[in-house]
Amino acid sequence: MSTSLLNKLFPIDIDKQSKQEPLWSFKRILAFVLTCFQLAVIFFIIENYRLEKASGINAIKYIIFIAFFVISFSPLRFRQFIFFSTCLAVIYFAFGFVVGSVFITICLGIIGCCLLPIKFWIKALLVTLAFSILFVLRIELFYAVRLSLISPYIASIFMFRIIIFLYEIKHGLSPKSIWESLTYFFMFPNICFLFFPIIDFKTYSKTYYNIADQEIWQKGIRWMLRGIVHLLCYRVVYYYFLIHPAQVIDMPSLLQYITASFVLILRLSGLFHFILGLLCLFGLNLPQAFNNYFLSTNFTNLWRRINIYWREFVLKIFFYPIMFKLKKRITKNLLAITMICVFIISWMLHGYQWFWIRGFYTFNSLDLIFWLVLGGCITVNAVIQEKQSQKPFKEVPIYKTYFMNSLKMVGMFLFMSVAWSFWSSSNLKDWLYLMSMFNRYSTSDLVLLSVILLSVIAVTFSLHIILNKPFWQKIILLPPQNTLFLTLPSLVCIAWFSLASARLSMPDKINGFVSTLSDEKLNATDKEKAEENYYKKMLDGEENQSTGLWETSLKRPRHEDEMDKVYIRTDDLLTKVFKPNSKILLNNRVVEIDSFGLRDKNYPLIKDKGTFRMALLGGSYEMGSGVDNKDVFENRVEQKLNASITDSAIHHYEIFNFACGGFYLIQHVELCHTKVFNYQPDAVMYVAHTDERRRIILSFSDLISEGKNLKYPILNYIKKVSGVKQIMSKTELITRLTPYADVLIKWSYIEIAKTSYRHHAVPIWVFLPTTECVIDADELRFLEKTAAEANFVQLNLTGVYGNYDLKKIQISDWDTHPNVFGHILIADKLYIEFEKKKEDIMKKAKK
Amino acid sequence: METNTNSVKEKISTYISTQLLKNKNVGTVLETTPLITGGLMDSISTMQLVTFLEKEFHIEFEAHEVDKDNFDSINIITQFVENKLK
Repeated sequence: MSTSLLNKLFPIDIDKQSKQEPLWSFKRILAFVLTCFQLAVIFFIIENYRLEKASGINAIKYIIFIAFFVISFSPLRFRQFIFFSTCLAVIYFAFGFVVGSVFITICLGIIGCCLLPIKFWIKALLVTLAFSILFVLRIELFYAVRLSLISPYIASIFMFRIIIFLYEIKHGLSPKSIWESLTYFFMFPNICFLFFPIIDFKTYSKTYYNIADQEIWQKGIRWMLRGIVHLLCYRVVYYYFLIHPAQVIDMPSLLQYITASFVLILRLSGLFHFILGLLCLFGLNLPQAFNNYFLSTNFTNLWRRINIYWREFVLKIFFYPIMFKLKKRITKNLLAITMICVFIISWMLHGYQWFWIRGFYTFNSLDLIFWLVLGGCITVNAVIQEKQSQKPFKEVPIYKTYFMNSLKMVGMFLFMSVAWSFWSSSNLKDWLYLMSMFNRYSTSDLVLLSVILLSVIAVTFSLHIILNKPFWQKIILLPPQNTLFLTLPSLVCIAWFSLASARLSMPDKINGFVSTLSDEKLNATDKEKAEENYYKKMLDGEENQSTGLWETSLKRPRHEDEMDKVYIRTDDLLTKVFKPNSKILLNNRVVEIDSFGLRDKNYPLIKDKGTFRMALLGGSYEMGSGVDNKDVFENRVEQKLNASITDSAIHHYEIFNFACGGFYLIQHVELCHTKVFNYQPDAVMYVAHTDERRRIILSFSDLISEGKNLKYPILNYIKKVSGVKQIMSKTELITRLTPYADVLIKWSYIEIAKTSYRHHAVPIWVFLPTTECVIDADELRFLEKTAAEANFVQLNLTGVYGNYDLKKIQISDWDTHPNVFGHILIADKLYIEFEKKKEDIMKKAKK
Repeated sequence: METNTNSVKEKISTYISTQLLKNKNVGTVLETTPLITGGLMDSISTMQLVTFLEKEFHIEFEAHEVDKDNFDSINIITQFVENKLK
């Protein structure tokens, strides 16, 4: 290759080159080795704490290390090319050759449109066209599995950066080289993280290796460490402090709920710190994305500190252009009008971002109100500050400033917590109900809260004094390469805590605490939401956007509403029944409904002599959610029983599966009263699970929300005494009904047992833990006692999953129902337990 | 030319110190002090400065010109204004 061609293809930036040390200088090699060690510790921490496991960042660590080495020891002019190649390697690694190639081709096509030597409007048109095609793919207008898989990633790469890129091109900026354009889009961490900082092209171009690379590496390590700390703090809050809205019963619990919800933003700041830190290792010396946002003292200050990249993007693309357009026409309230426009656009962009990531858009009025209120507050704050700046400067005693700042910080934090709770509420009714809890407090609550508040103010005040001392200021302002004495021990310490062997020497409580932090999972509240949403809510987009639930939603196949094809909605307490003789293929699993409307094989209506027929009552586990008809444990147990007949009186076993996803105790009672005994069962097997109390309340509140005729006097009575009404929010319904959970369970058990005995059938109570395996011992004791009082034969399947890793028996990360292997384990255990109690069951059946 | 530069710089410097930042306890603003990246000026004060410069020097700015590349220090602003005046 001739020198001129080489220079054209890989131009040399003399200015940036002059800032770098010689590639193989001893000092630089030492810095590189040290950075590699720190990076290795970081990946060790990520692996051991399972941080952002779903992102796959840990899986590409070797590619990262190789790329870091090659890029760091290559001449500056080739580094963007190698960085681009690294991204291609990650794409191929993640998606395979065929899909990866399609991915890269689409991306190159879009970038190519921007760089073609054609008029700007044609470029814009071509990009719009490409986005329209992407839109069709994203909404899955036609089902193309592979393209659907890559569309959110392509969207995440382009959704904002293409706007900035076109904006800069329009205003005359030309990329320094083709590699600069390519690497602006092809940033490999984006293949792992769909939520990505909106990096500005000019800033990217200007800051790329703009100082000695050793300094950028250490800045990156510091930010990655900060990101890890944020992610771990997020876990602490998520696992230990975040409560379900239904648990908000008074002012203290309300404060816990709203503050914990706001603090969850730590995850986003943690991710952004980590991503930007990682990019630093490859020379992208980008500015901070979050700057101690919990320390904001007013709204404009918050706007400057929280998601700075978003703010910069909105300012550049919308604020200044709108203001310049308007200032020629209006003079009054120019700032206010511009700000309102900008915040409406922010709201729309938020929806735009969620659409590309999730593939669907739901209009949420709370979103709009949130952005308008926030915009209004920032505008008013800006106007006040503008007016204040006209007044002469007055010297204020330093301690008074510290004290006022502490008060403002606490005030801002509380305000934002309330605003955040509004934003993340599923509806206005829910939020207003929650806020009504502000009125519920006792004197001791007020004293406690005052003490907490005063302590926080005192701590912030003291920190102001301490951190403004010259010594601490010196430490805070130390450049990253001089803070090794802080970053290195911090990383080693976090890594050490993650070691199981190190934790053994710690007190049990600390060991348990760190163990919990070492796993990425949904907390109890989100598990509940995920389970609830499994049937109806997830696709309405009600998931909490700060927590991991949206990711669970993202991974979930979008074809669960296919199940509707086998359901018939009803007006009674059952709410739905299966469509007889229907069949669908759901995620490659056969869901086949028999002529009686059960997910089962066809049986004769009239029972043969010598047949022992059982009716199985249950929900999604028993229905066999996620597995083929033949694999449902009920089928396997039936086969096992028939294969081991020794009793001369019984020639055959039949288990009628009345289970249906979303059926709980009230539906089982209704089934017993309307359907089950039409088939002359000799036994009725009811399968109870972990969390029975919550399930029945959830189910009852749904029936009330839907305005169903409650039919049974006790249900109407509970409705009356609890004061629940159809118009109430879900949270209020659950809160009001929760005290009646035990009564409802007892009534349901008695009803199932009573109707069974009346029809000469033996009621069998089976306890089957869910795969999550969190058994509430108190609740289990209560259920056993209740079942015994109702005269059920009891089969307890505790320990059914043995020591198997739960992930091996669950369908997937997003669907914790048992998979085929899980059903085999359940069938084996149920068979064994049934055999143990067979004599008792038969005895009762003969009576 | 030197006198012109000094006069432009002085006007800009005076406006920034006496109007935009007068109520902010920021000490002396040097010609190289980072104004936007240092957090001394935000979008609103930048727009105020733009309005002042447009009136004072009878020049016009475009929206895309208002960024830290052109407004981050007194020196940079002076240079930018002078380019406009040419």
